[in-house]
Amino acid sequence: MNTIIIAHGSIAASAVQSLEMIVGKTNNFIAIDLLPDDTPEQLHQKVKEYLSLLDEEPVLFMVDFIGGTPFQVCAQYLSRPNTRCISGFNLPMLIHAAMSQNIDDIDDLVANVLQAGMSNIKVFAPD
Amino acid sequence: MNDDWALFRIDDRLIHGQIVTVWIAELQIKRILIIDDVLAEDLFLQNVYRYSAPPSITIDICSIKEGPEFYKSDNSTTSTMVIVRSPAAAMQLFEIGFPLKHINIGALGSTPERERYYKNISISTLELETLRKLQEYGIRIYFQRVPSEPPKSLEPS
Repeated sequence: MNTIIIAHGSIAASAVQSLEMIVGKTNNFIAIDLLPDDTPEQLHQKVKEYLSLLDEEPVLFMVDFIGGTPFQVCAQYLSRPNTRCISGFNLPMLIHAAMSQNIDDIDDLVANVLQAGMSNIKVFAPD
Repeated sequence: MNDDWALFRIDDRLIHGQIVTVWIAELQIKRILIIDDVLAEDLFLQNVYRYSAPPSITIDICSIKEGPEFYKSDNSTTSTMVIVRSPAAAMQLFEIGFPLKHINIGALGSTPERERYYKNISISTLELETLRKLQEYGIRIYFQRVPSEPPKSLEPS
């Protein structure tokens, strides 16, 4: 499964680095950083370039939050076949996606990745 | 009817991260009115923008020509944020009687015609002229990307 991670600042690239620190080298995670001077058009250009390399293969976008420029740019590619977008990604989601490469159905993968991400959000406090 | 908007903003990204996070909270915005001729014709993109805001915010989208009508239908303008894409759009609205007292310049990306003017906001010579004209009409023009930055007024020519 091809995963394209897009976020404000440099957390997309850093997230992939952190992911590889845990699961080792990956080859189908793409990180696109949106830096302060980058325009939405430049972001579109980068996304288009990556998508053109992937033909009709499924793509899972992960973005930082709903409504930001990364989200808005991805939303415009959702009419592409087998393309989904998860907003509010975290590292457990990336790890789960990297370890679920045997899942072919994108909606199954998305459900699993979401579950992994959400079950890792918990509050711990002293008893 | 109160004719003062919570914020009237020129922003070529329309709704984006700075808007849906800090501005909405700072000004306790309940409604966002995007006035843009391109978006008014594009139902698909409208949906992208509608998804972009928190569910508690009403999003309205109209063309420049329809702007004054939307204003008349809004009975709580002080919690409404208006967003247009360019200084030209603000001028067009002003010319057809859309109430404008202050204009926040939030984001204008760089293009071959534009030069960097303030922080990462870029403006073309023509756009600067338009803003100065609006300022001469008594409208306060200021640059401010996010609420935590102090506003910077447009310097007269």
